[in-house]
Amino acid sequence: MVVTVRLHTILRRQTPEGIVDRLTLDLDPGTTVAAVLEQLGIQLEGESILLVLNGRFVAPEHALADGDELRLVPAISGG
Amino acid sequence: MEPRVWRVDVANKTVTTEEIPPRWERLGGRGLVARILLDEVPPACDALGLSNKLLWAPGLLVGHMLSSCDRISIGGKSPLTGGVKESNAGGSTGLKMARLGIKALILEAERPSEGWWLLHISPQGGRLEPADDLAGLGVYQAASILLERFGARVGLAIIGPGGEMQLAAAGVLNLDKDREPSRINGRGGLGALMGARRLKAVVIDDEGGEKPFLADPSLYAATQKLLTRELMAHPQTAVYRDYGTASLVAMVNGFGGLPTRGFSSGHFENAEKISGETMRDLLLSRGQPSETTHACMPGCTIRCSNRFGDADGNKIVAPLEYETIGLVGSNLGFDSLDTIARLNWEMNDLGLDTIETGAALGVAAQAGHLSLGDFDGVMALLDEIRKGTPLGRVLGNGAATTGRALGVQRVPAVKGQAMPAYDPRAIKGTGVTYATSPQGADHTCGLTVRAKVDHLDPKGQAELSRTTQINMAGYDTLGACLFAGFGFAKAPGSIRDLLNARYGWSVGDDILQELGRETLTLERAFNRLAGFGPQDDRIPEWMTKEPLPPHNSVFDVPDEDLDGLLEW
Repeated sequence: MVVTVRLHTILRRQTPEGIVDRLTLDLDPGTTVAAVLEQLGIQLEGESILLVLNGRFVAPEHALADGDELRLVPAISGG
Repeated sequence: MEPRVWRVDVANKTVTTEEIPPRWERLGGRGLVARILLDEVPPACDALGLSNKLLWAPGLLVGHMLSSCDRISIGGKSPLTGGVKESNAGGSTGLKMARLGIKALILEAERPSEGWWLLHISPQGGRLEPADDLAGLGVYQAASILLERFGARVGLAIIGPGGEMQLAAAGVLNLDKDREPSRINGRGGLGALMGARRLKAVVIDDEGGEKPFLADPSLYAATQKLLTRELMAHPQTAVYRDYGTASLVAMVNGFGGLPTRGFSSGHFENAEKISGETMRDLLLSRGQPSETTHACMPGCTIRCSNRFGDADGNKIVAPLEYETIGLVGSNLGFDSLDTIARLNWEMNDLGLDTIETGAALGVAAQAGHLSLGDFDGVMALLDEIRKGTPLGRVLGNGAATTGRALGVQRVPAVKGQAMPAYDPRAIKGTGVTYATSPQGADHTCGLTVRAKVDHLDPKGQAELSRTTQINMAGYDTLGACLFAGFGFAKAPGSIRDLLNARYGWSVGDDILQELGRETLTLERAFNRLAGFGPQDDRIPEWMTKEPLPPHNSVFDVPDEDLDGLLEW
């Protein structure tokens, strides 16, 4: 299954080809959000990152489905 | 300098000081504004009449360059909502007033004033000077003239043409630490109250002023150090420093709550073009004078602001913030940060709140007075405001007035005040705050977008909003920026220690909530006497019926969850 991951703000990655803020991952069915974080080497410390799947907040143990859009949003209090 | 209450009467040309009444001593900022309003302003009075007063009150912690804690509260009965109003801002006004020993400055009137005046305050006292030469000038030019006249070290609180015309979207603008007059007490039309007193500017000269007295300097210093360390180490600080509040564009768009084309959608297809990430890349590529990080207050370690320059190296506006991008950008169909920045400068120069003005323009677009995405069209309407034409005055009186005058029922406002850039149908906890806050629709009174909840689920949102509203009312009483909150949260007991070290009090661990509850209680009491009831604590009906794409959700938190939410 294919899942799009959008990396917000400080999670964007500087690569030789430029800044990467969107990844397309080919994952095994049933892969959880937590597994994706582990694969990307992103640590989920306390309240630091909001996990937003298709526009809604989810928990790390949530299983992903084909075509999902997962946003990893470093939490901020507002503007 | 001994803290005192200052009173100013423009018509009588008097500036006097007096002792602080005991019941005002333990409040500051927003809480003190509410207390003074209840004590001295008849709640049912005409907001633009002689009985109303305009108040300045630094928060309880203001005066020591504690990171992100030197905010100035301004308040009065709002000409926009008809209720209690406090709006706070960064910049240098709070710090300088505290160093003059100003606990509160009360602008009042026995009779109408004539001409235009400025108030000059310093350790030697206060005086009123003619300012007819500044009448009609935009904020930027007026500030430049005043800095030339009084020297670059002074602080300023100033109104633009909007305030002079007593428009209900007018704010009061303060200098940031680099003397840019863009830190606005924006909400609720407080600039109109200054205009009603014919006061164009307050000039604050704190040369020879003193830091406020500390009862326990060593405890204060240790706690200040702890707070600074926690703020610097916190991951949120990095996000704010590098991306600013504009980082919310992609986040709120991702939640489906970014106001788009007159609040008709929560998803803007070109959000990436106006996101914080795009802004950072753009400003870095442009170089000076553009800056991706900037402190609005001296001593702030978060530095969430920015300076936005064009491709030719000319400054357009500083700062460009999320709420403006939402209300003036996606809400009006603009997908260019340069365009939004230019409109922001124009609104600042007029002395208008960008949230209220952006929302009013969105309503005008529904009525056919503006095409979405039409820069020249918006500039033409802003020029109508500057000229004070009938249409301009309608727009400058905010979204609700614009809706009534132009026959538009879809107005995004509560208690007459326009909603900030979080559609309450997608971020329902913030919708509860809009509905129930005594201030009207105001995200700074209790934003819930950061909470780890399903924002579309109506359950639990009222409780979440209540907790947030209490905390925010507390922070607003301290003079703390809401972004300081995550530092305080990491340093338990720091608010208690700072207050005890400064004032020699012995407050406990829950002082933030105590101050918050007291403030909200006072504000609700004022509103009740001004004629507000449960019917005013509601999201507009159309938002409970019209589904918001992309989630096609409506605001459906039940009325019974809203009623009595802020009673305890």
